[in-house]
Parts: sequence; C-alpha cells; structure tokens
Amino acid sequence: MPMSLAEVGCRSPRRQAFSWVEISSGSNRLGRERDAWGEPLNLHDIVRVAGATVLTPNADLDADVKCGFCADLMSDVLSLATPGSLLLTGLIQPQVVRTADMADIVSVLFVRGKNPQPETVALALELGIPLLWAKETMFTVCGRLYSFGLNGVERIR
Amino acid sequence: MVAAPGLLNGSELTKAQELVYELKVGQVMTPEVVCVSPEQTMGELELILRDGGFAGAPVVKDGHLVGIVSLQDLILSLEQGAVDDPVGNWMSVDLLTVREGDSVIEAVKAFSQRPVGRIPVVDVRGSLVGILTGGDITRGLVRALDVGYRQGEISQYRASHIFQDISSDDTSLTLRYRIPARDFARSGEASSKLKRALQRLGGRPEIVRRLAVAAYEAEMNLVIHTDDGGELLVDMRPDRVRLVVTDQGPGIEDVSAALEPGFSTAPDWIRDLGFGAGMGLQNIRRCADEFEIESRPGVGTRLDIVVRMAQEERLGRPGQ
Repeated sequence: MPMSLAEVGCRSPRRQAFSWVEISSGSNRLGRERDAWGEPLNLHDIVRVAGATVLTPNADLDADVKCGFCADLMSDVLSLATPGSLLLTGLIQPQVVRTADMADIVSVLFVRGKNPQPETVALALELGIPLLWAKETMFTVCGRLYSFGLNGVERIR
Repeated sequence: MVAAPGLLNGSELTKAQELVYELKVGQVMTPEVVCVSPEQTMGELELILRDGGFAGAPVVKDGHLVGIVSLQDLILSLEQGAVDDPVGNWMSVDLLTVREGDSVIEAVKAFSQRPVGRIPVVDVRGSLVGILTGGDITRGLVRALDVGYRQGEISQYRASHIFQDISSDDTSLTLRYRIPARDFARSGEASSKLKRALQRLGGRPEIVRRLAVAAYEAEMNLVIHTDDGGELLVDMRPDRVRLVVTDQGPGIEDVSAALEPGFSTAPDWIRDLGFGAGMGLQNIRRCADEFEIESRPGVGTRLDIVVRMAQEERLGRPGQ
C-alpha cells in the first residue's frame, strides 16, 4: 500500500503542499523537498518520520542529519558512511556505538524492534550518541525516511 | 534552539545542580551588610534603605542579630504615620537564618519554605556575617559555571598548544595503548581515547576520523586474531601521525591475500558482531598516506601507517 503524506509525517501545511507538487510532477523525490525547504533534517524529524523511540535519555535531537546509511557490517560503516550520517542497523552490540563514534555517525537507529544490550546504551550515553529504536524492518524504515527527503551517502569513495 | 554555551544543555544543567550542593553560602552571600539597631526610627530606616538601594536590613543589637526589617514593614509603618516608631516595633523576630558553611541548597530550601526576600547569614557563634538574596545565589552559580567553563577552555588551550609550548628541535608525542585479545567488551576503547586525544590536540575532523577508523580496524584485528593481544603505538608530530600496530602472533600466512577485499579468516561469531568481512586492512589502507605491513607466521605482525597533514591541518597550529 502506498504511503500517504500524512503517514510519513509532514510537519507543516507548507511542507505538505510542497511535497504534493513534487510527487504530482513525477520528479524524483530524493532530497528535493528538504533542499527547497532550506532546512536540513534533524533527529526530531527522524524520530517522527520513522516512528522511532529514543533510547538515550536527554539526547540532543537538534543535531542535523546529513544522510542515511544502512549496514549490518561495521567495516562498511567505517569505509562508506560519511560524517553526520544516521546509521540504521540490525546489530545491537556495543561495537555498533563504538563504530558510530569512530565514523562520526550522528545517531544509531536500531530496526526490526531489536533491543540493544544495556552495555550498548551505556556506551552511547558515555559517548553522547543518541540511540533510536523502531519496530519495523530496515526496508520500511529506510523507505519512510527516503520518501521524506533523507538521502543516502552522496558518493562511494 | 540556540543555547548559551555551557548553560542550557542537559549536562550543564546537571553541573548547575551539582554546584547548588557544592557551593557554600559563604561563597555567594553579600558580606558587607548594612544593619540597623532596634532603637533607630522607621524614618531613619527609610533614608538608609533609600540611599543604599536596599529592600531590607538585618537588625543588630550588641553584635547579635535580633530581627530583620523589610521595605514592606517600612511601607506599613509609613501608612500608619509611625515614622518615629523604633525599628524594634516593626521588625520580624521570627528569624530564618543560614550558616555560612551551609551548602547553597539549604538556602534554596529556606527560600522555598518562606516568602522572604533575604536571609541573614550567621557564623557558628550566631554573629551576623552576611546576607543572602535569591540574586546572590544566581550570581554565585553563574560565576561558578563560568569559571568551570573557562577552566575547560584553558585545558583545551594547553593541549592544543603543546607543540609550541614545549621547545625542541623535533618534538613528538607518543601514546601507547595495550590491546588484550578477545576482550570484546572493551574493544575500541583505545581508539576512542586516541580520537579524543587528537581532537584535543586540534586535529581537523577529517584527519581525526581517518586515524580513528584506521586505529579501530587495527584494534579489532588485535582483539579478533591475535594470541596475546598487541600494542597500538601512536607517534604524533605536528605534520604527521604514525600508527604502529604490533603483535606476537599468530602472524598472517599470505599477506597479499589478506589485503584482497573480502579475504577473511574470522570465525562466524566474529561475523555476527559485524566484523571479519575481510575489509579491515582495506579500510586502514584507504585512510593512510603511507601503509606498510609485514608478517611472519609464528612470529607476529607489524602494521605501520602514516597520515600526513598539510600546513593548515597541522596539530597544535597557532590560532586555535
């Protein structure tokens, strides 16, 4: 079933109206809505659009999210994700947070409803990396975020 | 929302809460107190409050605190034409006091219990030593927070200027991290520490990230593959950082095969953790300007990489 704009959580009538223009004109929605709107996405947007739960209390959700990156392989994150990325993953060990720290990942979003280990949350709190949690699958969460205007990494280096 | 640095974000709020307990009343009170005696008239009190810009004053007799008189008391007395009444007739004697050694939280509690604007501060013998208002507490907290903030800046300053402050013909800073084998719970700690060190030395984010990623991949290799762990040695100079990673075995059978993307000898449980996909050495090479690896089975492995920094990227450069 196609997602309606209401479902992807447009936050204002203006943004919604603009989205309709983009969609009805048949152009690729990739990033257009966000660019034209002139505001980068931040973690508040991610939480709302992904229907996510914030696992780290007092997390700073004002941080900008430049793009999204999905991986269950940490070496892929270390080699391909760009600084300021949101990492979506099904892995829940502390190494995910450690990897995020090394790669300047802005936040980690756990998908498929997998609950991270307590050590993972503790490390994220120590390093100041917000952790998010969504119960839907990787594909669905990515789809929602992409539709809303979150890009993938721009180029493979 | 733009927050004032160091004041509004979550961790600093906690800092302010800590300070309410740490700071003593004596550190934030106003020590020079203008007092009146109970024999002075309300008319005299009016002049004292007006000239000093005060909203109240403690009342002292023979060096002992006997009461407190406020602007409100004065207004009431003036309304009744009691200008020549002694202060003693109008002052409050039901006194709330705090000791100068009490923590500020005691004063905050006192203010929240009673609708008073000021609380006299007494020493252990009960003599008046100062006065405390809500404004004094706020100013004391802001001052303490600001000092903490500046101390943070100073330590940052010192770290990033180490290469200028310490003079020699060729200065380098060496950090050593020992990495135990198979300790997955702590794996990555050394690389996190290295990353913070590089940041404090003023490393550019992209340089810091390359070194952190290379160190982390190397650290994971030590944790996953070695018999007895190994060592991460970081040699920092303003224009380049060298990372030398050594271990005493088991060594790599075929180094050129190990450098091929996807080549891996890692067991499945390592793969389940998101590692061991045969990308580690590739990643390290990609992050490095110079890359060398030697290994002998049964002896050990030595990885030596260098990341160079351009003039404007140098560690501890001036103007940071």
